[in-house]
Amino acid sequence: MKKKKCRKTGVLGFCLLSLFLFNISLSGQEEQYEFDVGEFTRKAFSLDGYVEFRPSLSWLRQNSSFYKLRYYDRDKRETRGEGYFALLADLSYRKGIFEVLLEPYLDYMVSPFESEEGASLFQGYLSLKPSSSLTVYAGKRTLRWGKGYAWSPTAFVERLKNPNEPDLAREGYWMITADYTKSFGGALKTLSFTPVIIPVSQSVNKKFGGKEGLNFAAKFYLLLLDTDIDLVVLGGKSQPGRFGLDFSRNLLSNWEVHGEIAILRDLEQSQVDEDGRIEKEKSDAMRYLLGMRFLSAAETTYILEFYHNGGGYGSPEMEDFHSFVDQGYGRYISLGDDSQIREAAALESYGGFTPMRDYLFLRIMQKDPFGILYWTPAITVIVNLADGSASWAPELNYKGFTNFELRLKAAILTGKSREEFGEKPNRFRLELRARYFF
Amino acid sequence: MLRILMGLISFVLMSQTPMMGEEKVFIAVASDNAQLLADVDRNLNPESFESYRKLINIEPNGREKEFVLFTVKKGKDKIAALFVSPASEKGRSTLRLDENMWLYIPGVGKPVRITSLQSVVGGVFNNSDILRLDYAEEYDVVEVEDLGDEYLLHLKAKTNSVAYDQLKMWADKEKKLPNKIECLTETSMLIKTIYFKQMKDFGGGIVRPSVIETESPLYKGYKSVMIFANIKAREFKDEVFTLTFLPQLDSLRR
Repeated sequence: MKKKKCRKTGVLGFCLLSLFLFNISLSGQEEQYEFDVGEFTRKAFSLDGYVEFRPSLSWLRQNSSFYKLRYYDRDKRETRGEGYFALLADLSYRKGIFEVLLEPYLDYMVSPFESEEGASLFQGYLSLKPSSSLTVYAGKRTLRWGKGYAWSPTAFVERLKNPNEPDLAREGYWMITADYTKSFGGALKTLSFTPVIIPVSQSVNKKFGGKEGLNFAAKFYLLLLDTDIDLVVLGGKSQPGRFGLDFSRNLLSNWEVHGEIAILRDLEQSQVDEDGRIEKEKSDAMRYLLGMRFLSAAETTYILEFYHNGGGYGSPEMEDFHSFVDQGYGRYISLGDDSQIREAAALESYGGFTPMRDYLFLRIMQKDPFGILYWTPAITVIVNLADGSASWAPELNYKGFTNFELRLKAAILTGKSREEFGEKPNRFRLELRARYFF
Repeated sequence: MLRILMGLISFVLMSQTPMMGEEKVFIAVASDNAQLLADVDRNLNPESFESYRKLINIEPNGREKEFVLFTVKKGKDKIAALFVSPASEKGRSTLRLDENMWLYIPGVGKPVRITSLQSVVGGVFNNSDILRLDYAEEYDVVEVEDLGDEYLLHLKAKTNSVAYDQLKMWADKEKKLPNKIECLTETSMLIKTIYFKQMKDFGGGIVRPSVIETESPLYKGYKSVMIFANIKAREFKDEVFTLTFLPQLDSLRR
């Protein structure tokens, strides 16, 4: 009996030892990695892009000027839900030194108030690249000039950037442009020249503004003493002359500073006084921005920018506008006459992204918090320095699934009546954005 | 007296000679050490080349995320990389000119300056691993230990803008290729360990490890792997390594 037990124990021991040795031999085997590069070679035709679904819910501020402007003739609501769908596609075909790119953008928005669909061509051009120094483009292109993150006063040939969403794709303008680059040794490492011709007519580049005719712009880029410097200029029939300079430099490997300055000649600005008289005034304006980007040892990124919007409205002028809206709304409620409120809504410069003069922008992003990959919490704060009103936007990004991006974002707008963010139509907004890339 | 004086002079001269000799030996050793590191660099890749790399981030639960990059390098201080996969990163490109680094994201627009410690892909590899210049360009050899089959090179960053202040490199004595590198802070805290694996003949005389694995005590349980393919010597014009060309890097792929 004792012998049998010993035999059983021996068999068990042998099994355990075999399992242990087998495990050791398995763990000793190195994982072999393979990489077939064939599937990644360059193709003549390519199709990329993304589809986006962006539902949101806004808590409305019914006594604000911009609520009255937008929804004066609708049923009063506490909240407004919205569904937004978009498709951005990039189709390109390359043959030798030629490339054709088409970038259509389709979107559909639905809310209890309205629904709207849109289709536009963000970019569509033919490019010719005879050498690595020279590329010539003809068609619709989005140029991104300037070094600012939230604002770019030197971005003379592009549509206005939304400081709440500066990374969003934007529609370009029809143009003929080229990039010529030369590299050197020594303090000046790179010199690039980008001339641009932008035509404006009833059917082409109407949003560029101003009279019909040809406009000319140019950018000189220098990498001088490890500093990026751009000199930019715009002149022509449609827009008064403007010129500017921007720079970007690393003070330390984890600390970058940047700045922009632009002089705008004869900038036209619509102004409404408290009696409702609308006048257009022209004056020279200076816009500038100073900013920095800092990465801490804990991999927290801080982006801080100060922006002076020369030609923007002061507090008294904004108060006149809000009074004008209130009068128009009162007129609509008492008499059913919406002419004044529609007149106020047409004054787009009061409702733009940055209608006043001095702003502060701060964005803090924490990459991989607690060592967990692909999660990035962030907060963006925009403060109007004249009245102290502000937009606070915390968000959480997740990029853990291949080709999927998820973002949950809130926006809290703080400010009293007659202050910029206190007169926006929302006081709180919650938004989910899901993107699938193909 | 004269004899004593001559004796003293002879003693001083004799005592000087070995010291001078030692100094010469030290310089020769320092020069050999620098050459050893330069040899390691050249054995890893030609000075100017193109290559494809697959980066795999492996999470503690085994889930993987892959990126594929096309890389071009010229000389000592110019390197650029273009993401060709996955679709969410496609077209994203990075450029390094000496200590300047930029990231370009298509759609978002203009290139922005980034730092060597950031990671454009997330995971254990950071930008300096992805846009790595020659080791000899960024590090001085402080000391070389002979471990039998391997050399242990103690490297110190030439400037404080380099991502890791110190490296310990275990290099195969015969092949003059690294087997393992430990990346350390100024206070000798271990940031990550890099393992070089799977020797492969890429053609054109390039025989080197085709896989680099890395793990970090800062990312416990995570592992990142870099697999090399199609490393080929290739010459490029300097204008390829400029901000203006950055959005056009794809045109270099054949």
